[in-house]
Amino acid sequence: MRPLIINRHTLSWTVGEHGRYLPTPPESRTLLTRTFGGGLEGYRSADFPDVTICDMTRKGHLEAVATWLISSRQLTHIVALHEKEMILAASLRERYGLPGMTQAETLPFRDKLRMKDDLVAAGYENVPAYLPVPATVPAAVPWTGPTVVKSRWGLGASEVRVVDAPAGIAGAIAELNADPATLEIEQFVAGTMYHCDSVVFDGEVRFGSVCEYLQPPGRFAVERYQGSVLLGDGPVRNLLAEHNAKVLRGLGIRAGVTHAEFFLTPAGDVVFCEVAARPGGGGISDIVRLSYGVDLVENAVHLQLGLPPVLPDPPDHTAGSDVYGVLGIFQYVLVEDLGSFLTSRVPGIVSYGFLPPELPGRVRHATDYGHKLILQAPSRSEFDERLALVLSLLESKCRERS
Amino acid sequence: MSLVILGASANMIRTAHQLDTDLVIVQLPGTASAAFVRPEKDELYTVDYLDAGQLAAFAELLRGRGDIDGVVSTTERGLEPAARLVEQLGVAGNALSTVLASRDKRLMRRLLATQAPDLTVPFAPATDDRAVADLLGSHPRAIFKPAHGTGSAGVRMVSNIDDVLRIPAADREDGLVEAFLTGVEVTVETLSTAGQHTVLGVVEKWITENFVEVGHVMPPPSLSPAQCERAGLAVGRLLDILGLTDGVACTEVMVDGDDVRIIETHNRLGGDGVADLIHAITGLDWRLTALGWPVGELPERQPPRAAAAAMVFFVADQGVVSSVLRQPPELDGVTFELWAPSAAVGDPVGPLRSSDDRLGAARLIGPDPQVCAKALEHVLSLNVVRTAGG
Repeated sequence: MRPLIINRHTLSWTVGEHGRYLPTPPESRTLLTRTFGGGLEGYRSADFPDVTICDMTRKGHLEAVATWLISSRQLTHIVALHEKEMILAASLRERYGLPGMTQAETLPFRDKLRMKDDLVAAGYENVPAYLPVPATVPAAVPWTGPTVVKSRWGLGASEVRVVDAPAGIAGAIAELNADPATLEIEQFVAGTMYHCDSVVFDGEVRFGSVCEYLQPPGRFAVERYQGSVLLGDGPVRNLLAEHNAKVLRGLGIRAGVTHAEFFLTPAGDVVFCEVAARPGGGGISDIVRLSYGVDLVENAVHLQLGLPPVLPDPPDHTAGSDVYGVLGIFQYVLVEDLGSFLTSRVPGIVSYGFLPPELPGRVRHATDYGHKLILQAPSRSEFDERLALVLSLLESKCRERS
Repeated sequence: MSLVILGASANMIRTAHQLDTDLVIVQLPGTASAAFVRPEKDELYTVDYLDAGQLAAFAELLRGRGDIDGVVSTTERGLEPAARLVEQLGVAGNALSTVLASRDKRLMRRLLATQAPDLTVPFAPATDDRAVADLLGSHPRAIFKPAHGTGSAGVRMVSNIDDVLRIPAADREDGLVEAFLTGVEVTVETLSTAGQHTVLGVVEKWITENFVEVGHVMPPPSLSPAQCERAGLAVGRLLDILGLTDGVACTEVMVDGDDVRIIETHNRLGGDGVADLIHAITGLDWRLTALGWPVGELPERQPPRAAAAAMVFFVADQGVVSSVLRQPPELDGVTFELWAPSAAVGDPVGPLRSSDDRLGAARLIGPDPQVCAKALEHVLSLNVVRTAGG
């Protein structure tokens, strides 16, 4: 086995410390990474003697480099965990006859229009009303209430606009500065947002967790923080797990780690939002590992290598009694290390990480965190109290600095 | 704008970061280090560029970038691959024909024999027993050397055909035997621009009986200015014959009175810290010059630090290191800028076969070449690294 690892995350997140997620000797690995965003964090040449560092922002260049690596080294598998590389990895697999998800299998997890079309075709009914953006911007839409205008290919809620009336759709399209054919519109769903993170093998969900978002991801531009808290066993978790399984069956995934998002309306209805065939970002894998002992990222790597999942044996997918959550405070809210300030005042902080901004400007997406904090509590109510304490300390610090 | 650099050391990459260009750093497998890559400026590729097929595939990748302006290698092994990239990409750098002729000492001797016989010596391919015997018949002392060798590795004195036949056949396959030259051996460092060759330094060598270089002094204490000028002119003629019109070169010549003979040449800067001697005496950053010329970046000269300078390399008899002199001696008139023994007590020391077997180095500057040469000799006499039990 000679895998190509295309890394766009913090390196140790993708491959584990010193590449421990990869069951291959260092000399059999080929790493393609970048300098930005921690792409070389923890890098040692002993772990990856064959390394290429390239500019991933240049259109077509990444594909050319990956193609060169595969063909010049006779590589056998591709590991690509970032949303942006999913289609590229699938097309390269097909071009070189490598195992793993094909483009046809990957598209329903990338194209937000296609995924809804496929789910409707599979008989899944809990899809919001939606439409492709027609050539002529519609004066009316077949639903009531606000409308979401979003990229079919976006990630991290970064290319999403919400308008109150159809008259605002044209402005939203202009604001997104995108080819209308790459956009979709759908009915805005009011409700609490959840995400289900799964390990799928042989077409079955072998592990699943459910988290509640602390904020709707789409509000990253106006909020100070984002995050998730794991749900313990209960009716909400069971209901969402059931929908998650239906969605994944409907889209036909055979093996992989998935991250699906749903709304739960005040009326108790579940509505599908979107799904990706990759581990969730923003610390989700941390809290799942702490709670269940299941490493979603390691599983994603193994499944992309055609290996069985790495799950506790015998399977025990019950969360521990503690509640874990991740809180991400966005870049630029406060550009200073808050570690000792918070950990000395708030109980249950498992870890804190400060990530200074690499680019000037503003927060770019829903997990563009400047501070990542894992919080633990013996119950959900105590978790909420601790979270509230962190947020009030953040507020006071922001006031102090302003 | 991007410059491709093959096989550069950490020091050379740090130097290249002074250039106003992005870098495409190309390393052989197992040697890559991501530590030198500047965020959002540089790229790093691990390529077995000694393999023609791998190099051709990599050239195609680079061609697709469309922003490569030049290719340079700072190591001997990368010179030919760099030239192949230059040809395939159509960018600035040394021509392949120039590099092949300078890397293959047999080819260089043949070119000199036809175009500048006064600059060369009789030679014979080491596999041609009759030609070798004829050579040794008229030249009682001769040198066997690998045609593509560097760092004195594999060079040995031969005085009869049996000496040559004792050399392993595989080594002889890529070897030549040439008449032994006497005189003062110097290195001439040049920068060529549009066919005009400028001599930046002439450096005299101190060589052991095994042909391992243990010292360099600039300017050469044993040569007159007129002899240095003749050496420079001879090198210019050689570079014209080889077709080297641009870039740096490091050419070894033997000067004996008015006679100048070419030993070998490389289209790269000289090793052994010669760049530091040039910087000390001329104020020119020779490493930066060697890296920047393909992209038209030549550094400004700084004020010189001294009139003369020397490098001295520590060597020791075979054995186990018993002591190391950690501080330079106090010597009138000279300043030690570097004192870096690389051996430690208890280290094993093998036979001195090539530059790689040396045990560290020192650099000194002084008021004139004679003072520096005397200091060099003194340092060599100190046995900075001593061994026992050889």
